[in-house]
Amino acid sequence: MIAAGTSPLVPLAALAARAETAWLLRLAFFPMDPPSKRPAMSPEAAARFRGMVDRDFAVVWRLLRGLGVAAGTVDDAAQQVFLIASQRIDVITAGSERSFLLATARGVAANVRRSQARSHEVPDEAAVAEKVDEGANPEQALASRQARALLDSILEELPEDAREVFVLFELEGMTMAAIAETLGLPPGTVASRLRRAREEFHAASKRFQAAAHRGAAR
Amino acid sequence: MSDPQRLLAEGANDFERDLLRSWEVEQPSDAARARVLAAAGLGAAVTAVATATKLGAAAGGSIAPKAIVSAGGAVVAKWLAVGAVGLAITGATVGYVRHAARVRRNEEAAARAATPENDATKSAQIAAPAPAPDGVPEAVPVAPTSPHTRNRVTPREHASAVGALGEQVSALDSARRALASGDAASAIRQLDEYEARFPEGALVEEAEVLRVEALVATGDRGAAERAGQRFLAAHPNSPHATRVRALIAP
Repeated sequence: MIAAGTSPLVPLAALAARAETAWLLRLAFFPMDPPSKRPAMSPEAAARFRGMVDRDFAVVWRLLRGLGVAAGTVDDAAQQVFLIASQRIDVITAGSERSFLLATARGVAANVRRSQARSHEVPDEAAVAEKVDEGANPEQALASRQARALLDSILEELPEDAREVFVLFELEGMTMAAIAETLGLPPGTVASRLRRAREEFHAASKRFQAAAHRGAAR
Repeated sequence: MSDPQRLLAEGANDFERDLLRSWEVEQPSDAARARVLAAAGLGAAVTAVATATKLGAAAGGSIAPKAIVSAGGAVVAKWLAVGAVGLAITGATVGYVRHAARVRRNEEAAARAATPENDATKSAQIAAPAPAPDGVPEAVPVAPTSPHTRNRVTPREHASAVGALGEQVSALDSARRALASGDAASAIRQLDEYEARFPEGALVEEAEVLRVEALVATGDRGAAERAGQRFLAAHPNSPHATRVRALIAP
């Protein structure tokens, strides 16, 4: 069916102004080539980017997991964070690389979580298992996996702002000052979020322990 | 103001400590790290088509192929119906259809090449892994290549490159595990094998650093120093340079 307002008499100029038209014309002459149009990084920028990956990939990856990105999606989300960093490497101030990455990770995590909520995606146990280093002791690995699943459930329950402070301080071992700087928050706010997160963490762990005892008593 | 003690050190019961310690059990794979470098055109030439497809809609910053199909399809239908600007549409449609077919072929080839050790195909498509002499290889994207691109990689070449990176990552992982478990000699053997199999591999730099570590672990300071100096001469700007200097420092 022809949509209202679209007729053979519509001037070409008006069609060309449409976003879809622009895309189709672009595809006709430059089919899907944006990555190759990206200028290559200078050797200095490349060395700096490698340094960022070397130092901060693991922390970004774990933060994404801590902020609720599913195990099956976290590799892609981490890649998204670093792709953004690679595209903006020239504007990232020296010394603030980690802040940039963590801030970007927060944004990407929020988007991915929204996407997960829309698609009702549930954590994929196989994907979780794949991320866990089984080591030499499968029983220990199983216990660790179960503990990790519980930790994820508790983190899920924390308010978002408190959760990231909890992850960065308690789990990643960052200092309060570094967290305040990274998140752009006054130190007092970081401290109060941490207090709140701890209260929630203790409360949730008590609930889990009580539930476990009830289960064992049956 | 000093930081409070962390819960793990003070204030958590045994159950909570177990939960907190479990944070460390999940770690990113080396393959995921390698993909990030490769996607940025460092280490191996890669494009992140699957990532863009998966996350693009959520991020709102890029147009996923599905959205293009949907928008493009609707417009094509309308335009064909009204018979307007037929030439441009034909060109666009042919361009897109060709492109879509090429992407599909590449994705199918990558899927065929996927193995449990090689999850690199999830979000990356890999082309020529050979690095440039200065250690900053030029990016040669595969999937979204223009029809005019000369260096087009066939699905077979593409699949084998994907498989090769997966094998490289596995080989280095295995050497790293051997070193971590205290078997430095086995690590060195595996590194020899790696460098023999992949003389221009994407992870050669990492392999050389690992070799220095392994040599230090064996107590062979002389060999460690020679390997370290060789590395520093070849890769003076490497992010690993500081580590290597520290390893071979007297």
